Amino acid sequence: MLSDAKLAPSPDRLAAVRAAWANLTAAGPTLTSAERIGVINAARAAWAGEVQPDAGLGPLGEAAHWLAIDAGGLTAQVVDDLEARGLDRWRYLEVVGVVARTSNVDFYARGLGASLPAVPEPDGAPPSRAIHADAGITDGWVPATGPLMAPFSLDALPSEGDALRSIHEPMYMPMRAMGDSAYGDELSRAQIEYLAARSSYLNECFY
Amino acid sequence: MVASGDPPALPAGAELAALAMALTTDTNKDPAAQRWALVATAGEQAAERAVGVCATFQMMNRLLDGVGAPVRIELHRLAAELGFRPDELPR
Repeated sequence: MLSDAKLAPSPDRLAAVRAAWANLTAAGPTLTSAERIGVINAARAAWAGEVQPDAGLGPLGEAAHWLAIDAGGLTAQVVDDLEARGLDRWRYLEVVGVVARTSNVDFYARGLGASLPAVPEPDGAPPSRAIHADAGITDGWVPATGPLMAPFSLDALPSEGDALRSIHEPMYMPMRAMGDSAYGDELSRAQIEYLAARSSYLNECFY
Repeated sequence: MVASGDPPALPAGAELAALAMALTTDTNKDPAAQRWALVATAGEQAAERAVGVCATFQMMNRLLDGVGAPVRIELHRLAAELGFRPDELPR
């Protein structure tokens, strides 16, 4: 994985990508491995220029497609409609996490000039059904364990929340450093936050 | 500069701006020219780090938009500086 990168990945980020990919392509809390791989393929097709979702995946594929290329255009009404057609909020939340983490893996690979990780054959394991018993709708559209805060927004599905933080920290910065404006590594904190703000602006994400 | 795209007054600011633009908006292309320009200015380790940050915010943007997270009240002033009102976003 990333072995053909034109620019070498750091060891910690390479390890994070490997772990993320193994997790993303296996069964999750509510989706099978085949369903998660279908979501990944739908997102990749959207990034490659497909303008409409593949109807074969139904609302699962629709959610993946729009999350990939126009997440800012989603509305409560769209999520209501997906739910009415069979994609319940728990499964929708898992799709959000799979598309989001796939974007981290794929955009990192592309940025380094590497091939995208290959999609494996689905495994036959069933979903774990591990959901947070006390989660409910708070201030967003999905089950949550509290007000929706970025690194904890998948925690209604605990394994997805853990997987999010496992890639977020090596790619962005350690959680313990978030409040440290003097933090720096290969880049200064100002350079890191500029990239974060500019990327978010270009994605029309204002949160 | 965040909204306009003008390069920030930071070391390698122009190259960072170009990388963020290429990686975010050309979702099916290798941003080779922007990557090597940043390597030439800031070095390989800084360029790899920058790719990681940009990639992470592709994840976080889709995540927060996808879950329907509200714009926090403390960010409303910043939103005004960027030229929009959070309560007018179609959510």
